Amino acid sequence: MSEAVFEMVGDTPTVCIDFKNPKSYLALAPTFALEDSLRLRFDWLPVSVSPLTRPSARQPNEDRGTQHRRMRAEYYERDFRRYARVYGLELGDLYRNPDTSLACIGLLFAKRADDGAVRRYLQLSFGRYWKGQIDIEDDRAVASVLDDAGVATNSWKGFASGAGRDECERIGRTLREGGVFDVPAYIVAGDVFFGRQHLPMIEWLLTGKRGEPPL
Amino acid sequence: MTDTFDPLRSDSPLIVYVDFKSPYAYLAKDPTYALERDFGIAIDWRPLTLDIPSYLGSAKLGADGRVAQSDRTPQQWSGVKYAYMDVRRYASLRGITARGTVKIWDSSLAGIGMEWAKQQSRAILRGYIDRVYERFWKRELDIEDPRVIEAVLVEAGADVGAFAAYHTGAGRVRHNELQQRIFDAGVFGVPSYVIDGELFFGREHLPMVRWLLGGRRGPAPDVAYRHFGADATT
Repeated sequence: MSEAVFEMVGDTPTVCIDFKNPKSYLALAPTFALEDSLRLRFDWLPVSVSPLTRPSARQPNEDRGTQHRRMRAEYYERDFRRYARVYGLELGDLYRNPDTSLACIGLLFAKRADDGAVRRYLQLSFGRYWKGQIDIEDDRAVASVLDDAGVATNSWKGFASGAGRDECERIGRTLREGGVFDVPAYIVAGDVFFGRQHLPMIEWLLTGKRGEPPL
Repeated sequence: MTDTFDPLRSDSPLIVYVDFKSPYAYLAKDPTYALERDFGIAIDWRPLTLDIPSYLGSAKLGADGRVAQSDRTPQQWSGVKYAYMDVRRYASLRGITARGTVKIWDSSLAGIGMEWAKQQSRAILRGYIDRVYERFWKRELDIEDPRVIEAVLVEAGADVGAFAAYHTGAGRVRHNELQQRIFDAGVFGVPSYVIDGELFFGREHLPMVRWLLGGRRGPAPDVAYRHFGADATT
């Protein structure tokens, strides 16, 4: 992870997410739970990473590498869906690749509002996107999510086309160039962790490394 | 012997696939033993010999520790470097040494040795697995050398009278045939856990595996690298 990333996030525990990535969606609930348990707030940063690759159709005489990539992709789809069931989440097409910049700018906009706005915005935007209820490339749709999250949207249009877009691009570029290639990416105590499976480690780090370390 | 083999079924309630050249499988070893202890079950440990270059490219370090040969893409290198960093941070917390390997090893002989140990007793199997993992990841074991593998088997208490004939004959044939069947069944990485025919790849699924072995009591857990005490119920 580059110095530029650590400089940008400072000492605040940070989580980087991508709206089009199901692993980010699956990470929302356990990350919120950890926030509540530790009585802290992560800094939620938007980043756009490579979309998931749809498994290729099985081919006769496919080479081992192709077969491996296909089986791995098929496995991960099953895996995302079985854990989505644990959380009662609906996952539509996992392989969509929309321009998520407006949703990202919406997150930055929500961060300027009250303390609970970010969580409400994330729950609503992810939920509606993954249920196929929203076009996240439409600024009116994102504005509607902000409204429903209790965020005043008077200055939304200007922010979305101006300072918000610049900030979103700067953050995303810094994260990607700095080594954030997957999501959710937790940046905590000078280290990066890809995946919500690290939450026990993150909790352990944030609570002074007390007790048995995670395995 | 191989005709009755099913990659996703076993007499045991849990199948675990491991490869000695995978540090993630090494990290999973002891938490997986804990399942045997806590549930009083005999896990069906099976070798899965990964063909890493086929999906992650290949690389070799020179004597100076720098990359001497590689056909990996930048993305593959990012993933590999992160994986080793991730392994080391968890390993260090448990006092486990996991030095980066200097090449991609052929671990098939070590896997055949594992099958040999398994045929003898569970204690011998565990003794063999523990020794191979610890020494290999300290760079103290050449797992491609039959004499080295045989010596570890002896240390673990195995009778090795016929091992040389086995690993060059029936054991090698069985290994190669089963590896293809395991891979074709969709088991592509380690550690992999199979319970009731369902595949879970990675130790982050141990909470779910534990929940399934425990009769699905309470809400289903999420993935997590979680510590398990003897009395853990999640």
